[in-house]
Amino acid sequence: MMPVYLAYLFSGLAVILALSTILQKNPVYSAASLIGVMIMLACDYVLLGADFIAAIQIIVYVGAIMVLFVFVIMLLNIEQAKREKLFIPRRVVGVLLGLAIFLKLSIVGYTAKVMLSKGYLKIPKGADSTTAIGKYLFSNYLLPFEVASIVLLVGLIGAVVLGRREAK
Amino acid sequence: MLASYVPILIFAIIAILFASVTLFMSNLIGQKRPSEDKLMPYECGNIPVGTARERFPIRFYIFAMLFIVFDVEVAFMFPWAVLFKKLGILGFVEMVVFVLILLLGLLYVWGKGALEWE
Repeated sequence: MMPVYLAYLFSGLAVILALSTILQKNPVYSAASLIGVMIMLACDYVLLGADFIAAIQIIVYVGAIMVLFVFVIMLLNIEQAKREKLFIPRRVVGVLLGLAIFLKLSIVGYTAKVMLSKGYLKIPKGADSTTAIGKYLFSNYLLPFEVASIVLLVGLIGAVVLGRREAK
Repeated sequence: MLASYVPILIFAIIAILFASVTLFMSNLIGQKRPSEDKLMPYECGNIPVGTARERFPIRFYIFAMLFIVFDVEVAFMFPWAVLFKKLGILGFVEMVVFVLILLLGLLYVWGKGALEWE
C-alpha cells in the first residue's frame, strides 16, 4: 500500500506547487514552482508504471518547455506581476474553463479505464512501457508518428518566421 | 518494478537535505557583518552596470524553440532504439522518414539564416 501514500504525497505536493505557481508575485518563483509541479507529475507517472512518460516528462517539460517559459519571462522582462485583487469578474470564465477541462479529463480517464479493461489496447504484463509504446508507435500508430514530425516541422518554421522579423 | 526507483528516491532526498541543511546551517552559524561591497551582486569581480533584469533579444527564444523541437524528436527515438532489432528494416525506414522531415526543417532554418548570431 506504500505506493498509494506516495501517490497522495506527490499529488498533494503537485497541487501545492501549482497553487504557488499562480499565486507567486515574482514570475521567476512561479517558473520554479512550475518545475516542481512537472517533477511531481513525473513521480506520479512512475508510480503508475509509466516510466517512459516519466522520463519524457523530465526531459521535455522540465528540460525544454521550462527553458521556453523562462525565456519568455526574460524577453518580456516581467519584474513583478501587478496583482492587487485575486478575484475579478473576468476570472469566473477561467474557473469555468478549468472546471470544463477537469470534467473532460475525468471523462477521458474513465473511458480509457473502460477501454483498457475491455482489452482495446493491451499493455503486456511484465514488459517495460518503453517497449510497449514503441511496439504500438511503429506499427498501429505509424501515421500519427510521422504526422508528429510534420507538426514539429510546422513549429520549427513558425518559430523562425515569428522571430526573424527583428533581424532585418 | 517500483523497487528500482528507490535509489532515485534516496538520491533525491539526500540532494534536497544536502542543499537545505547547507543553506540553513551556514545561515545559522555563519557570522554576518554586511557591508555595501559585500551585498553588491557579484559579476565576476566587476562593478555591476545597471540592473540584471534586462530584456533579452528574441533570438534566444528561437534557439529554445529549436531545442524543444529536436528534444521531442529525440524523445521519439528512445522507444525506437529500444526496439531497433525487432523492428527491422521497416522501423529503420520509418525513422529515416521522420528524421528527414525534420532535417528539412533544419535546412530551412539554416537557409533562412536563423542560426547566425550576427
